[in-house]
Amino acid sequence: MAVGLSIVGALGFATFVAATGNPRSTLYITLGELRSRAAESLEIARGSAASRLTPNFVRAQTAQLAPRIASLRDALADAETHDGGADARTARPLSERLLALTQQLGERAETPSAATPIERELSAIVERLVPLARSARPG
Amino acid sequence: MSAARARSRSADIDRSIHLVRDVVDHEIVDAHQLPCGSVDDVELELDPPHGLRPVALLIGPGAWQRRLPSWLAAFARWLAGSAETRVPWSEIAYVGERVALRRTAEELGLGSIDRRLGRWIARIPGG
Amino acid sequence: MLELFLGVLTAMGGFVEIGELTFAINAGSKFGYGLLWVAGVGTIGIIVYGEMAGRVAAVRGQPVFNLIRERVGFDAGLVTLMAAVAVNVLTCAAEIGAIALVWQLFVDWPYRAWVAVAFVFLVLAVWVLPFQWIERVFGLGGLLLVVFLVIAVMEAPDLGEVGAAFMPHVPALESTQEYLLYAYYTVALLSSIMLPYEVYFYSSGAVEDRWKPTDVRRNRLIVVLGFVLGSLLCVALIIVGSQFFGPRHVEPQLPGVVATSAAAHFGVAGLLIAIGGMFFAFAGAAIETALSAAYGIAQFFGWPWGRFRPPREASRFTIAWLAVFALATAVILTGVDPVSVVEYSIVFSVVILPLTYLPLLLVAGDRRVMGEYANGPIARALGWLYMGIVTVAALAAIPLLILTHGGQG
Repeated sequence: MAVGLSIVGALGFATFVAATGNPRSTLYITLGELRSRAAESLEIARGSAASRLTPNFVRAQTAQLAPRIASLRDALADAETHDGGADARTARPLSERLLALTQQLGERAETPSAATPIERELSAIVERLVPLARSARPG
Repeated sequence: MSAARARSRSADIDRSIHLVRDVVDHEIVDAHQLPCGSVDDVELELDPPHGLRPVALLIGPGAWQRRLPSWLAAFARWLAGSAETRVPWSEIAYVGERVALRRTAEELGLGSIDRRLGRWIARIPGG
Repeated sequence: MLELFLGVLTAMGGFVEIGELTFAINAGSKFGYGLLWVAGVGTIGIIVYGEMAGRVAAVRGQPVFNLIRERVGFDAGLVTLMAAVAVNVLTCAAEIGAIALVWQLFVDWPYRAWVAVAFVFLVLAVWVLPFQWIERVFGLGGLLLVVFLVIAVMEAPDLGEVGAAFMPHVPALESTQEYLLYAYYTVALLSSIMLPYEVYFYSSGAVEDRWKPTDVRRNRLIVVLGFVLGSLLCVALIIVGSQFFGPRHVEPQLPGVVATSAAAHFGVAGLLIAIGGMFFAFAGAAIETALSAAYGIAQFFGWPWGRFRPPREASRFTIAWLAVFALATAVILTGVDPVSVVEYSIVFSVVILPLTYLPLLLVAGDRRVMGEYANGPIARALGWLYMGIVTVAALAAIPLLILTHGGQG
């Protein structure tokens, strides 16, 4: 009984430690997530422009995405100063722009036509992030 | 003691142990088929001609805490108290799927926490 | 006949929750059809154990945790109980967070406000609704997720390719790191399909619905049909992940983002259906995990339990499920990301999966307990095969979690 509990407790703790191991310390993971967030904002912009999404949804979803993008930007800023990685230096301004565009998308949710120029710029950002994220991957 | 008597005594002990195995950790229901705990422990008595005899069922945190390692038992005592209810063996109507008792839970002092909490919960609409 | 039909549909609609949804979509986005076979293997696994749990309930008129204590003993049973309750609380927490995320998409209140509303909503739902209504409303509501099945059919031109992917295989990948991530996804997806709360809830539900030994065949039908159809939803999510999100470079971590695929095909109507389905699926899962934990605790200690009793007659059981909701809400109010919570709970669940399913396997196979209805050769073979499979998964889970940087890559 004591053995059983100790084992389960140890496994739970080990799982916890393993799960909260810092993923952001690996740049390629951060870049991969950034690429995904950019592509997600792009999808929302497309949907907004085509009136496939309700303005409420656009506002709310961009509001849910923004803090996640912001924390990725912070991670990149960190990587810039510590690792001196060229990839981080390229990606950080992109993440700033992504954050601004995502917020704009939410602010202009009522006007679908306003999403079109945002969509164009987001598409360009995604196109830059895809190869960047891929090349940063190990192996 | 003759060999025959020694053999019959160990058979009695076996029978008692089997009985205990078929009873311990089984659900208990009262006269109204209401679940009122599990058999957390059994009180045995040494009865010289017959060997060990089960005398009572022991139900409640006090009973199952004794089966835990000591550090866990202390925590369990803090969490659940150490109340224990003793139900004499004669109260058992039959032992089948579950251990069925002759009288109601209330009469035997079982499930008192549920009843006490139940009075509070009954005040909430839909309780 | 109607009962059977509803039972199957309820099992189908209750199959998906936030963890399975996220893992399936991401599995498709990252690995194409490469993980479809895992969905198949996992579905057979939960059918095997679900059938056992239902059979035990029908034959003994007792749900599983009663019999676990009898058969496995107090000590081992208590360990199983505590582990299962821990996983349930965490999963419940994730579902509550996911509900809040979904509601936020409609009305712009702060996340924590929605979490509080979700707590009240869930408590009221369980308090007020009779058991059958709880099962039916959330199970059938979850069927709105069929929209993803439709999208999958529209997006997957090559059924041959899909079919071939059901044979266990490992796709060609680009690096060791990717193979590790693939292995992690194998374990996580398997775990998310075989979460024990579904099995234990189903068993208690069978007792709530007063099943008899004559219901054993019906049990088998419901389990097989319901879970197979439910797994179609999981397969559909993998396909949608592969065909819609993969090419768009999206690996969603939010339920709303997943819904954009429905919007792309069906406009606002599709969006609303997808979000609606997700809400019912998450709420159903939150309720099932809370009740499953309460069932386990009450049954283990021999307390009166069940929603067929008015709350005042099953006081400690009632307090148990209220406490689980409260604890889960407290966990999610700390601001931790629901998707991270569920990922953690899915991994922890697979780590203890052998422990949670072994007592069930032993009880269902025990002639003293089950008489003529004990496991036949097929159930026995499959039961032990899957015990082996989940043990391997349990051992691999934590190393993989570490090697993939917490499942991130």
